[in-house]
Amino acid sequence: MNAHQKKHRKKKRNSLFRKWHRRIGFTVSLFLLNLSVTGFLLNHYEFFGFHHKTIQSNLILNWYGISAPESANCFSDKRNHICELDQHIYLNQQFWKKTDSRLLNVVSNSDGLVLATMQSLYFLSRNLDLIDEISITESINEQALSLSFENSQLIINTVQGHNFSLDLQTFEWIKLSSQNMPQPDNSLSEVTVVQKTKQTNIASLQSDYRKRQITLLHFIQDMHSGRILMASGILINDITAFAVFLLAISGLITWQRRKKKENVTEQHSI
Amino acid sequence: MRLLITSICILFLTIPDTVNARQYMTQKEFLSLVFKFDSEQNKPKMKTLWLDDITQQALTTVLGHKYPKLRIRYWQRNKQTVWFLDKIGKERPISFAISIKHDEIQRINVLTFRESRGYEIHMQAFTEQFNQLGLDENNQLNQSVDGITGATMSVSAMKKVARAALVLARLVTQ
Repeated sequence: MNAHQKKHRKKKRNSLFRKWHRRIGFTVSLFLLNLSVTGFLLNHYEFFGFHHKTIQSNLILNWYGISAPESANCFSDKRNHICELDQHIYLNQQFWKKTDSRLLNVVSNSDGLVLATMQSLYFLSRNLDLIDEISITESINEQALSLSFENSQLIINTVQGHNFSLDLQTFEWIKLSSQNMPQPDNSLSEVTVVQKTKQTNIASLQSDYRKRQITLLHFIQDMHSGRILMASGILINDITAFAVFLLAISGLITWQRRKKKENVTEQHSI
Repeated sequence: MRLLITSICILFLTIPDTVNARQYMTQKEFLSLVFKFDSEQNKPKMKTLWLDDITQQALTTVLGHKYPKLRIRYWQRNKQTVWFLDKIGKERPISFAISIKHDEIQRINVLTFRESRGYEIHMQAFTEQFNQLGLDENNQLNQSVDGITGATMSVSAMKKVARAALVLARLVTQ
């Protein structure tokens, strides 16, 4: 191989090296753009309130595979209609709150409503404002199975088969035995167990349920980490990181070579 | 190699994005700790405070939103009161217990932490900063509290809850 051929081969190799540096750089820049934009948004999520906003797009929700429960757990009386979809409570078709466990039953009295979940009791006013919340599990270390009012006493039956009465003055639970169980008194007409009803039209609740599942912050975090594309997204992010590493090295080599070439040209011209 | 890659992919796909609630202390434990009662007879009586418009307004100024309940339960012995308050840090509520004595925080603890980040606020080294803090004339804490990197919103929630408890304690003890 003569000197001319050697020079030509070196030139060709350098050209190929730069071409691939450009190609990788261009491809990586798309992913870097995503990283920089989502990184900026994550840094300022409090300012933009992304942790409070939820994804409304059905397309994205479908992508995440978010689906609403097919049936709802509903209770109705003359005034109120209460439904639960996977621990999301709706009062008269309006979202109220996400509870810690599923809704067991609802009792109506002169003060308003008492909602019982397996772990908590919620006292609501007649205007459906939350008066108070009591943790059952923390107080008695058992989960509730049902709620009832007997002789003005609020009684819960637990999963373990025990009965507890709640003293509404001290909020202390009193364990009941079969001897001190209050007898049902139908004269207390102000207390009624809100009847469980069959829900026919829950499409609007299901739609609302879906739209409460993914916060914008969660979505941006997934975009940033690549989890939006599941394992392949993470893999792409890893490849991007590796490509950036290669670019930094190949860029440095190209710069060194160019510098060397410029020095040689300058010496020749002198 | 193929097995390794498949295992890593499965691992990534099965990583849960939610963290279970961490309970550090119960209400009962906190009450017995701050009131130092040895039996149920010595336990201070629980009281209730109905939140009227003025109290709600005061709490709204401190918390940045209306308190979501109409009634707050608290425990009192002489000039010492104990409050159990919840505040959302980023997405989920954090349960706090605050003991106030003579308009100063005697002790503050995280009872249950439900957020995915910022659990460090339960650490004693952090919570001790609140001890002996009171309110200034603008209902702000009268001394600064050092933050924790990565737990900004949880720290902010804790500061707001501490201020809210001081406001409520002042209301029931004066």
